[in-house]
Amino acid sequence: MLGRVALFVPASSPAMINSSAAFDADAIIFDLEDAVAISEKDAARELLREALDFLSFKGKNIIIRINSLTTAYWEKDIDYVLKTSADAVMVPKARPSDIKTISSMMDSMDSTMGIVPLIETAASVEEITNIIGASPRVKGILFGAEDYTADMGIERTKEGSEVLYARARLANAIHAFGIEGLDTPFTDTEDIEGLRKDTLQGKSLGYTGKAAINPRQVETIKQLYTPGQDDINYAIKVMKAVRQAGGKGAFSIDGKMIDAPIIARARITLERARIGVNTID
Amino acid sequence: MINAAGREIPSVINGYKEVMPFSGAYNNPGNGIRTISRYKTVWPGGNKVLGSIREAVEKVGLRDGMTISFHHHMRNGDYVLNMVLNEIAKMGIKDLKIAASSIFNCHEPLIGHIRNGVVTGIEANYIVGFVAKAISKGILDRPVIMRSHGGRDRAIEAGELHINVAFIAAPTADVYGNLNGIYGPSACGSLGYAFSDAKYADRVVAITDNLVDYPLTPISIDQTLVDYVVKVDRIGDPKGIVSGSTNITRDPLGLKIASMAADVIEASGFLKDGLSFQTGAGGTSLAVASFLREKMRAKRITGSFGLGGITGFFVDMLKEGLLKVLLDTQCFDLKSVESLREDSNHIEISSSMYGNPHNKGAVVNNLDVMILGATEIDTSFNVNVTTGSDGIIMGGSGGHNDTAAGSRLAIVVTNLFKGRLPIVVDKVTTVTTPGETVDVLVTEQGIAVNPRDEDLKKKLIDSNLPVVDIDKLKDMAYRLCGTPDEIRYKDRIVAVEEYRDGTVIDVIREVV
Amino acid sequence: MEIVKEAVAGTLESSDCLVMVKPYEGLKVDIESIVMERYGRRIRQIVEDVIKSMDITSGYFKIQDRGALDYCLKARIRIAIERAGVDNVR
Repeated sequence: MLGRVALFVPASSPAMINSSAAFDADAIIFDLEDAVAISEKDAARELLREALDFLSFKGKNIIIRINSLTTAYWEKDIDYVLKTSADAVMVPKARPSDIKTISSMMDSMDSTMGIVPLIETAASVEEITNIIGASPRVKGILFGAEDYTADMGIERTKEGSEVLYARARLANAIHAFGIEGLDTPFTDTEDIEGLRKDTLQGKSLGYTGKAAINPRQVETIKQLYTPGQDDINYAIKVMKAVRQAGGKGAFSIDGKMIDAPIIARARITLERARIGVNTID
Repeated sequence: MINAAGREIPSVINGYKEVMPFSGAYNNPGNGIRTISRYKTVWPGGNKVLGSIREAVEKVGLRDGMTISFHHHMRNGDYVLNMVLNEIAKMGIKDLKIAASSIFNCHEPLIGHIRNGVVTGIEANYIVGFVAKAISKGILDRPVIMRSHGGRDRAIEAGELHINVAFIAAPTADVYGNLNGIYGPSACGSLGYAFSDAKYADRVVAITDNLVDYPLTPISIDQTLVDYVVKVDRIGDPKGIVSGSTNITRDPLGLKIASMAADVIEASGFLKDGLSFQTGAGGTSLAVASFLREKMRAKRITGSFGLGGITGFFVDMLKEGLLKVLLDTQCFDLKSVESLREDSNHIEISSSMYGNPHNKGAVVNNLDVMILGATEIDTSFNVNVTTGSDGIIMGGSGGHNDTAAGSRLAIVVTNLFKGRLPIVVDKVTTVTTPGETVDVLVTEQGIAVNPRDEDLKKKLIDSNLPVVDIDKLKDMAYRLCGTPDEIRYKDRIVAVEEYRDGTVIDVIREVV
Repeated sequence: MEIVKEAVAGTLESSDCLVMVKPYEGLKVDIESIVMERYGRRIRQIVEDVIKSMDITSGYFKIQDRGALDYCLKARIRIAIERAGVDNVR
């Protein structure tokens, strides 16, 4: 649902909404929260609803970030969001109770929408298993390092060693639950080399994608989360061999034993490359 | 009658020569003889430096009904056109035709001279701003003739545009009439658009704010062509002449389109040693050059030449060795002026050499890839860069249709729509560049290939580029923006869009 | 229903529009647009449709359009009306 790269777009800006479909992000996160001034929350909701009706976002998952459940705006937000065709709601400063609240509202509306908790407080890092476990609608999470470091009262650096624990903790959790995890956005939109480094760091920890806060970041992130051709070719070779072996246990490729972890890795590679295992011939 | 670009052209246009309808981009070769120019002898001991513009106007014998010309290297910082016309108006001369290579916002006083009957005709390659709007509202009785850069030189050489007096803004001149554009407080770089004027006008007056001792070096336009030199305080405002620097777009959509265009160049097989190309100075066009540069670096490719309209970006590529030569009709920024001054591989060329279709081969014929902009492009790939969506003049070909016709791969880069205006449309408001000379359209929503180019289409598809039908792009744009209403025009023709070969490709009518 | 107080919605940024509504005897719509020549008719139609769909019978509407797409026009007009508040006087 979240894919390799999810692009934040302010729900208050028609120009940005208009162009958002043109970028190659796997998902778009329309923002009703930080990007929208308090006096413009009503206008942003209305604009977004009309936009989702009018514009075509074919092939992209639509996620809407509502205001935190500690604010006065979230109820109106969710009211609007539930009437749209969005794929998921992103809940900022998520707590287990927030996820349960939103989830039961969705249940009562017979909605198929998913929930993406935004993990950006010290408490929510500690409670991550309860947050993910709060609803089967949670198919992925986003780590928000800016608010997290603010909550911790520590300095946020570009190199990011101060968020290493939280970042790794969440990456572990997404794999424990088998869900997707978006790494925190890189906020210096001018620094593409820094973005590259930061993306690779998140990827090495186990994230499955990263949020972008500017369209210019999309291509870089997407490329880094898309497996290279060598990896894809090897994965295809593995899956072909699996099929030929027909469940006969262990076998080898080029003299190397192929066991369950290697097969699992090949599956993930193909998944990330958006290649269906059944389409391999 | 309907011309070969599918436009309805009247068989007679009042105030315009005999109408030759556009019959195809490569269908009308030059014939006859190149025009003759008048001898004027300067004997030994003669003095060319005059004290004022008025004196020069008197000496050259300017009279009612004549044609005077200007070049546009001073761009929106030009003082010369206004200065000369003010003097002429004071002298009571009327009914002049202005043959300016381009007209900018700074030329607003021209409107007053039209109202007073000093100016009754205009021919130009590009007109923007107040004057353009006044023309579209019908201020002139005679239709304006709009040409391409190469087309203007062709018309001058063919004798269709006969210039009685050329007034040449010269950033540096010596006392005997040698000129260049690379020194002085108003340095503009190349003087490429003024060469034909100097060569074929009956009389040539250089106006400079940097008069130097004889002989000037280097010499762009030489003393054998120049009658008089007038020194004035300033010939232009440096801020309007060249920009401090030209920048690549920061608009993410523009960057995406540019990146796709660079992929098109690679997929089409032109990304190899010897590559030559031109891009406009617009942000998206420059971004294409930037992506192309990355590809050239990565593949260790050395190009041949860059053409233009030269920007600092091209200068960097020359310095880096990615291009061997720059051929320059006009400098867009200070860096390119400096490079023209200092780098022997950066060469000033005339706009006739650049784009005149009827000489023995213009440089555009040697061009591999051209990156073009568009105000509108229609489903027949015709491009409009002359009029806005309201039918009002806001540009002109410049080198657009010259380079499209000459280059091997002409790529139009544009957003599918801007604001709520569809750029890909059913039928362009004005045809500036015929679709038969355009190969590819790149938009953020996909790449359309001219159907006459099946091979190219296949190459792009094989490279996994998002190739779509141009009708699909148009449908997409219309679904978002809605189908636009027709523009309401009056019957009167306010401008004739001449194709580079002198045929009429379209007419522009007075707006309501 | 009638517009009971003045309100605005939207911006003058590109691709957006600024909608101003205020009380008025009867209905009046003024439109200013950078695409008037090609889309003026359509914009007026949209404005009138939204007004009608919200049962507004009196009010002054001023639209300053900077190239907004249909959806944006609709959203801005609707929010301007909501912000102004309506009164069922009849």
